[in-house]
Amino acid sequence: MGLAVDGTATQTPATTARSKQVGPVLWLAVVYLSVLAGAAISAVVLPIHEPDATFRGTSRDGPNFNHWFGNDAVGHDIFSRVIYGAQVSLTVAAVGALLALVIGGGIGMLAGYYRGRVDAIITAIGDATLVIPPLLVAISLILFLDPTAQRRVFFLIAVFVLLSIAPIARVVRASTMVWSEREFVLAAKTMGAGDTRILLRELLPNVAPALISYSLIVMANLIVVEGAVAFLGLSVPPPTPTWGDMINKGRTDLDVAPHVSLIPAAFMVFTVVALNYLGDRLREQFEQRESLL
Amino acid sequence: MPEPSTRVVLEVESLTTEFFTPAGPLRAVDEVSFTLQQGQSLGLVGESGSGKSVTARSIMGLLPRSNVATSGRVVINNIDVMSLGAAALRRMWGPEVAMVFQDPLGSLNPVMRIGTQVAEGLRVHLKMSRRDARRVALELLARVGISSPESCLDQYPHQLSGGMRQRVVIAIALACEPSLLIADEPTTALDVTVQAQILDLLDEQRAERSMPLLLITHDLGIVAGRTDNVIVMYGGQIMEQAPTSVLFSDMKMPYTEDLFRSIPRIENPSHTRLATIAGRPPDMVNPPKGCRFAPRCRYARGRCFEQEPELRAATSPGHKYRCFHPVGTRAADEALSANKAEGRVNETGQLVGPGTT
Amino acid sequence: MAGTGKAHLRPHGEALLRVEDLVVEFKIGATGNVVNAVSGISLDVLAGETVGLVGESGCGKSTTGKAIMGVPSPTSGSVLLDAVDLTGLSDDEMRRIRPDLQMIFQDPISSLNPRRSIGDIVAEPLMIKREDQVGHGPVRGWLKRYASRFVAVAETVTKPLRVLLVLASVAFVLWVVSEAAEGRRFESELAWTEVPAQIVGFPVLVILVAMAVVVFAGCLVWLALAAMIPFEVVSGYLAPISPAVGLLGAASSAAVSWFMVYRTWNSLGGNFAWVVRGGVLTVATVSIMWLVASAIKPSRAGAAGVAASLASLAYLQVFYIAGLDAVTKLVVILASAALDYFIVKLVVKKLAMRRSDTQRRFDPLVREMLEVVGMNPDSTVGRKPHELSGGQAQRVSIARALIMNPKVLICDEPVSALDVSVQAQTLNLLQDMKQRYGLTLLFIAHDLAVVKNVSDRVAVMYLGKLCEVGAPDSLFANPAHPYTELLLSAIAHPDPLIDPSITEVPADLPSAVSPPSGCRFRTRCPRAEEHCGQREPQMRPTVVGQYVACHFPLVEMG
Repeated sequence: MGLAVDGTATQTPATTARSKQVGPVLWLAVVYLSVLAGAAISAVVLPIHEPDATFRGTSRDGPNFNHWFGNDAVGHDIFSRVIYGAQVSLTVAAVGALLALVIGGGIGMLAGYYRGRVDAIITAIGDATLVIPPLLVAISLILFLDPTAQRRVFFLIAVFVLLSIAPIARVVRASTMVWSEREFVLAAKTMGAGDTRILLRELLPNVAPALISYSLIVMANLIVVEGAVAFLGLSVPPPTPTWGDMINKGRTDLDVAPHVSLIPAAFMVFTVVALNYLGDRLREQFEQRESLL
Repeated sequence: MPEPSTRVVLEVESLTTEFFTPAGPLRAVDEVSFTLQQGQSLGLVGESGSGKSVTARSIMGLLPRSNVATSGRVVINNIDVMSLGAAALRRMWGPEVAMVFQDPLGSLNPVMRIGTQVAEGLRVHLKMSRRDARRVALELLARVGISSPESCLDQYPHQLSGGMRQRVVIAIALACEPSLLIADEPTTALDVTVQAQILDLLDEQRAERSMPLLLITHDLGIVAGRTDNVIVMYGGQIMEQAPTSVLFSDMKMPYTEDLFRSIPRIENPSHTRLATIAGRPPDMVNPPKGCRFAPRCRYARGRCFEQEPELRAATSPGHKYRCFHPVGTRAADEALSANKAEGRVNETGQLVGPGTT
Repeated sequence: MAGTGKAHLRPHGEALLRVEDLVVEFKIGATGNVVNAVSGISLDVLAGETVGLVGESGCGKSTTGKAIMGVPSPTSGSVLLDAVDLTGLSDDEMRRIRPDLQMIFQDPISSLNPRRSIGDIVAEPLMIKREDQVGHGPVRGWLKRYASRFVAVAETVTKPLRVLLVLASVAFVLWVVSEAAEGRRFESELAWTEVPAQIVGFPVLVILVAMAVVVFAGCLVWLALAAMIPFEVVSGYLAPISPAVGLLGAASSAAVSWFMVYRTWNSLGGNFAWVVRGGVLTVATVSIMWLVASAIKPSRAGAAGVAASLASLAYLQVFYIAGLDAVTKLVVILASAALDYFIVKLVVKKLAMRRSDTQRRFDPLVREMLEVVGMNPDSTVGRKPHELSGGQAQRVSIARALIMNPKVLICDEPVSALDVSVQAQTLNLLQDMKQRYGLTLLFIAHDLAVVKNVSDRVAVMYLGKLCEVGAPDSLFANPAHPYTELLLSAIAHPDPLIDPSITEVPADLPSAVSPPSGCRFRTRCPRAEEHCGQREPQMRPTVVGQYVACHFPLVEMG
């Protein structure tokens, strides 16, 4: 055998399979999220009751055959309201997280790569944004600027994006700094690669996995914030159902009809947990192993 | 240097360590046995993947708890290490056996002062008071050759040079007067001049305390002048074992010979073509049948690929090797000519294969 | 040691690579201390020669290598490659020279991007060169100029603003909480909307809005700048699209954007309009800019225009859907999704075709190179770096460096991280490559035996200065400089008969921030006298043709 035994002869332990076991919990999370999202998008065509239809005589009924999640104080069907409520929550969270990912990721990478003054400025702006308590700002901006009811969703998204950019940018900046120290970046420079090329072809593929999984966590966070805003009555106004609003309305009947508050709350919890778990597992999946031991 | 007494401090018998990886069980250490007597130094030589570091960690009990299976006997100062639980092992580290690692910066806590780190072992194991521990720490730092120990005590690791850091690490290791010192590639990360100083220091301490030293390295040069005995490992097994002078003058294993010949020597004129060992280290998840080194050996014949050779004694005392065609014997010469005739080996004695240059 | 001087350099014009008075200094942190990494080195390398640069860690040899490559450029001094001074070149000119001067690094696995395949990695220099040939649009120049101007302005503005922002946030939080404590409820029907008119509330509101505007405006600008980058890259890939198609695309994207502005201007009420308008205006502006850029450089117009039109199509879809009612919305969403899917598929297929064209063009070169360095191309091309061993990864690095057929190859500790047997293979490989391609090597290492084995000429460095230079056989047999002698005595010989201990124990390495005056080695030199601290020794020839910078050398001077 000679020098070129590399491909033909023995394999090193490092070429072992990289895939982790896809456990049942992961499947559960993915299925749950897919079903929820699918139901939310196609809510209009699903064979469910109208969310704002009131059914006589069903006030505060528990779950039964006609209304799978029961009814609230006014007589709305909770099952369909949960699904319609998911529309708002998921839209705001997903769009917010996506935009924040793109903008925050870009800003973070620029800060981490160029350092120096660029980094100083971006970190300054970012730190200032981090000081701001998101919930309070969201509430007060809505109160002061008073966007029309139909546009509340866009408004919320904009605020959330603004406030999520800084944390994402921080994470990406740190990751970029670590990766840009590696010798392959130096090698690319010595080959004459411009900064753009290095950012996009060398650094981005390495930074992206962490970025994407962190964005899922940001998304989970946004669901909670939106729920809180809705709870306070400042999100999309009735008759559009939102989970937070449903929890709020059921507050007074917790002793008599707990399901009115608890069911939307449970959905919020499940969604957040599923997103967090998905984010963690994705991060694990993307981790490259450099050696076996 | 006083004659080392014959009391056995470290006894390793049939040590085997297996890692359970997604690809299958990986036998990193395969039936390794040796002893170390008081005041002796033993060099454990091998390339990466040979199992030398895992051997050291198995001896210490430093392996992870899950997905690892260790078997065999390890006895340090009459203590059976394999039977100890986690707490007992912790009590043993420091007073009985201590280890010095490769990267001095990684071995030290960057946010703790040197003095605190040196005194830590003293206070935990020997239950010293803070003042006493500080005094002893000062002595230790002086003994390892740090020029101004008082100021060093209050410094942080990043303020010291690599050589000084490694001295501090050695001081920490020696703090509780261990019966055995294991040094895992202690000088690989250091410069040549500093390397010599650190090795001298280890030697000095060994002689002073009559403490056995297990020196693990990939560098044959380091073991040459500084160890009493040498073990050469390959593929998790002991390939050859001998007193140092005997090993260098009378190598039996083709691997040892090849390794020796591939080192560039300062005495050789420039542009000397280096002899190389063809191929790559074996895959320890699926080790080759028969002798582990056979696929890369110029003397290998049919039997070598079928049967694993046993470790057998040579004529000099303490010299063992594992080969069917040891270097310098008739069997080896015949095997070599047969290989040349078949075309497996070219005229200069190098293995032939696709892409060999 | 501590020499300066150029006595050891060969006559002008003979050497392929000539470095004179190279100085590299780094500032560290806030203290303003300057690390004198390299202080006046001069070296030359003849065509086809291998010069070994040896020294311990901290001597500046790696820094010298990187300074020659220009990453980063040296603080002062000249680097002449074929009589062209690299230090004086602009970025663009330097990029054109790069194929002639390549480098391989110490850590083999770390020098390869873990997310790319080996084939990709080795082909990278060829792709960069091709991108260069296709040319960069004028937008890149604008980007740099405006970006730096923006950065300068933003810097002056943000410092006080940052404090203001923090204060405003804290004040705001306190105010809100106290209001709530007073018993007011958070309901929009309440007279909270009157609050802004009050003296207490109004300034806070202004600050709050200003804060939002600044942050948002900043984001917009960054977004616009960031949006340019993918356009740049995409157009690099797809340049061969016909300019006419591109111009059409850019024009249509501009039209769509302005149409959206027109349509949404009045339909969105309240204070949110400016948010949407901002977004739409961004896309519109970007499209116009690209239109103009494309007109200036038609070769980029094609792809840029297509990209712009795709972006505006997405935008159009989103806003059209937003205005619909429930069922129609669902239908339109599904239809748009289908349309988008087909478009994306088409674009990806186009990209893939271009990519495979590129690959087809470069593939044979890549495969040939991999074979030359002793790897099996079939099995290696698709692998990832972490699947390779150290020796294999180093071969890939060598393949990548050599695929451009450089004149000079700088090797920065290429074998230090490798096992002994693999080291031997790699050194033999370098020797073979040198013969095959007529390379000129600058070999940087700390292992004397390795350097001796490889070099035609050796230079010994210490703390940023040169000690001695000469032919390896004579230099190591009869060292002229005390430092060289020290290094030789410290070598661990694989021979049990040689006593390895150094008899003298020299002091530790001095700091590079404040190196010793005069000869830098004098603090550790057994022959040092007072004179050594006062005057820096210069390079002088010895009788045997070596050059040494020392006041009391070990060998007779010529």
